[in-house]
Amino acid sequence: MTATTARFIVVFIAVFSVTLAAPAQQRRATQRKQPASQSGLDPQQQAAFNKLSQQADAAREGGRLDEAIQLYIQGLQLNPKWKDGWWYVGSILYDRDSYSDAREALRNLLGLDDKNGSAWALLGLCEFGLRNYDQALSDIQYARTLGNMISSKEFVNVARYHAGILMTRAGQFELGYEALRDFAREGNESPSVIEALGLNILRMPFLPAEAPPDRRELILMAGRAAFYQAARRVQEAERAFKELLSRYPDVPNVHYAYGVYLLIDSPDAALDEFRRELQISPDNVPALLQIGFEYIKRNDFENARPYAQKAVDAAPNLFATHNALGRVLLELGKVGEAIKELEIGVKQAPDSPEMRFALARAYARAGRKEDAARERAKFLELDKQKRTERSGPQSVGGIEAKPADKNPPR
Amino acid sequence: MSNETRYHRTGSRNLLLVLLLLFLLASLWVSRLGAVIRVAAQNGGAAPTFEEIPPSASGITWVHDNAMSEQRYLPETLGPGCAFLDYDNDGWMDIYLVNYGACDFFKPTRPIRNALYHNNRDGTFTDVTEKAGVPGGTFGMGVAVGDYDNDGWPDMIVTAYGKCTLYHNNRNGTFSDVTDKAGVAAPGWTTSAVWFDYDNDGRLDLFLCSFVQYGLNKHIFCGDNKLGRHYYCIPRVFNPSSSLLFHNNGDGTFTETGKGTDIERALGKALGVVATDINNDGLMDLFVASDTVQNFLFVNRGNGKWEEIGLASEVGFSANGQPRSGMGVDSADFDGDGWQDLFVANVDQEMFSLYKNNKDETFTDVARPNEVAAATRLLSGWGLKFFDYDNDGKIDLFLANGHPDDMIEQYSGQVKYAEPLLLFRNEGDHLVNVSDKSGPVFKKDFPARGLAVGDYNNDGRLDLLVVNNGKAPVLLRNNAGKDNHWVGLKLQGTKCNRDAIGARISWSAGSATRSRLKTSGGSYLSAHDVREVLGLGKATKLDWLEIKWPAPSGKLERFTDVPVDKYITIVEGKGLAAN
Repeated sequence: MTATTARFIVVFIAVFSVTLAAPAQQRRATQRKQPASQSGLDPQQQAAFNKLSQQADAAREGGRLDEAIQLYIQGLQLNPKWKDGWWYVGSILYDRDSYSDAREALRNLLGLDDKNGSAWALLGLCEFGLRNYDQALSDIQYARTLGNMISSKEFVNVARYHAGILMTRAGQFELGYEALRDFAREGNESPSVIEALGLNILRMPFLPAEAPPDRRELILMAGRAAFYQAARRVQEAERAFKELLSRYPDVPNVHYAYGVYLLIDSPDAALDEFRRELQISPDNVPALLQIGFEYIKRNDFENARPYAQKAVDAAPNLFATHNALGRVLLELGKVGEAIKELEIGVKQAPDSPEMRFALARAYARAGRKEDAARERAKFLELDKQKRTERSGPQSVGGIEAKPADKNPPR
Repeated sequence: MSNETRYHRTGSRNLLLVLLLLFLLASLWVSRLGAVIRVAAQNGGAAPTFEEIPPSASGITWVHDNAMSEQRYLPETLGPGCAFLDYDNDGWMDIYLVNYGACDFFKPTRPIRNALYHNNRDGTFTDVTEKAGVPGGTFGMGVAVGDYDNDGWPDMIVTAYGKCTLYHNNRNGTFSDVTDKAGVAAPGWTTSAVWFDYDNDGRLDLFLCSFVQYGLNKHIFCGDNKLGRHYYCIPRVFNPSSSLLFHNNGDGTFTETGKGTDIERALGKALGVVATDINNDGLMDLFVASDTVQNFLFVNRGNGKWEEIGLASEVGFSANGQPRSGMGVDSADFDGDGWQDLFVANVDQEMFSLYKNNKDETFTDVARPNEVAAATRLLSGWGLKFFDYDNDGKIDLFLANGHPDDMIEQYSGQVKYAEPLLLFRNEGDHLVNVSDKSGPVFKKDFPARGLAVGDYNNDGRLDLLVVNNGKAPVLLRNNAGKDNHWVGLKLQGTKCNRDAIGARISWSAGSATRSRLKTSGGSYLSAHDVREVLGLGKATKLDWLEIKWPAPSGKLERFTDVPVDKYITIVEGKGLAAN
């Protein structure tokens, strides 16, 4: 691309930009207000536009991308509401690492079609390229929620991978693991997947590119174990974890990671690993919570209580700690204290369905029927939303708000 | 060769054949005896609590074909179901077994069919399927038995992936397919079903569980991983659907009446259902287990109104707000407080739930103190039933288990595909896992699905039939509680539904007074002996027996001179019938 062409593209895209660097949520709200419209071309313009669009597509398909981008721009000059045009301009520019310009093109597309999952995902990838990581995660997650990304598996995988590593970087390790583990299940053993998984299970809030160089062997060893764990290759996972433990027995989160691996099949052994983790890092909140929740699962609330309490003391701003302690107190019959803890948790994480569920149960025990009903309604709303984000709309059941018209055909 | 020689040789040959036959019979007897001695030895000389009756002894040679394909189509792993029913009204429980059949993804390469086995009254059964006209032909899932036309002869609905089939009993050992005429030709994928009278008009209505929206064009391949193989998808990836409620019009036809109610609005992936009365209001409610989405508790508010209260009653989700993989269900007053409790089985790691009724339309999960939670952590449960296996008067619990994914052992160190059966004995204040002490069959593993409870040898002890995915069924004879006494009741409604579903039975024997609701359904894909066996423990006589018949009569009848250790029939408004 020549310098003149590049400048022209930048100016052109900027003129038609409909949004600025507002938060994604805000942008989404703005864009929804924009009316859908027709091209409004006269027959002569339409003919010219048709010709240009065909030429642009042919150039793109023929790999003549400089030519293609110029033709798309010309077409967009005639018809700025040409969604495919904006999409191809954005994607070609993204492929050329021109993230800022690509971002503007995609914003224009989203101004015309704010439910375009592919555009949101590519926009997120542009933000990633521009190192706006929080924005990148927000956009990609929104795209995944929409669930209508183009059917290219490669594209979907790129978006999923970036969501996974960005969630790890943001400290959302459990969600990050969910996004990354499917690569292992699909047999994708690439170093980037291994590294991402390693950072994730070691709970290191870095992107792979930011990982401390002196920890690289540790990260790769952990990643290999996590890969086998996610791929459900039991014997190899067991071996890999044992090697990791023998080489790095005192590194924080190694015992924790092994404990998580053991939790499903050998919960007693998992508890031992979490306790070993606490010997290394006494305030390791995830380990405290895992022990607390395992005891809750066993209805052993007396044993759960000290771990839940310590988790709250160590991380008073983490809603999960209040969830654990609140649930324990509720089952021990201390309803008032439980409500207090759970209300703190809800305040900290108003969008957590689990918090709403726990608080609803506590209100019900206290006989506060209206409060319980309100929290249940909120739980259902949030649960549906989160479940849709995580596993798609088909994963959601429950009572439909509107009868008849939404019922699946029989 | 002289004639004499020829005769002599022929005679010798006949003698040889007779000797050979005698030898074979003797071998079989010795082999059977050996098995009995071995079993007895393992149980300290006594017969095991539940004794596996082999096909060679029962004559049940039918085997389920699970149609397992490389593609691992989900319906393959969910069946089958079974039933104990007395289709010819001779007073002996016959057996019905459901098989798969041709569908959009499966073309059988050999003939496969359902099977109806007639009880020969000597511990053996004879296959009468063809004569009875009940071979199925769909990709069958389960069966529910009920006398929907109140003629005294049990009818059957066979659910399926495809189209379910309503078999009307012709009262002569045969059945007719009346599905279309009756208006219950539900397409899609139906699983468990239950007959019950929701509007107390004296006729049995029908509830059909609907699983996911599925078809060849909706199939998803799961698990194309490094193993290079497909495994059965978790149902989360398929769209949910609404279950169906059909009202009995009384003329052999039905009308779908779930429409516009919470039953239609509840999008689930329903696998198990039991009709019970959770609030003692005389209206039968429905507890429906759903896989990967919430369970539903439909409370019958009368006049055709249903209120779904799964979330508020705390039986919809796990204690931390997660939907689980609900499969088998049942309901009974296991703690004897007069209120119906609930049970639901889930998959491994989720543990099963035993919900104690708090008497205010809410429940508390008491699986842990009843030894159920720990015992089921690694198991996946399907067929299950509350029943009094030792006739001590207290309600016990049996669970049939098996993991839905045949490849589970490749990615789990602990969870197995075939899993053990479990028996819990009611010790009065809690359930105790007595599986280890209940016979060698509890040391074996099965890919179990359906479970039916019924007394096939009329000895007053309820036996079990477990059906396995892709394997032969297992018939378990109950040898427990031989010193305990019992009364077997066949209730015959005249104003209420003929099967008297919804009747409340109370009795006093010795120092104990007990009560039981005649529920319907429960377990998974299966139907049970319609008779109720009341355990009296050591008491040799029944002090009194009360039947509160369901509406429309709602009549309360009391009996004081009831024979024990035998089956009797009580007819609504007419007392004991001569058996």
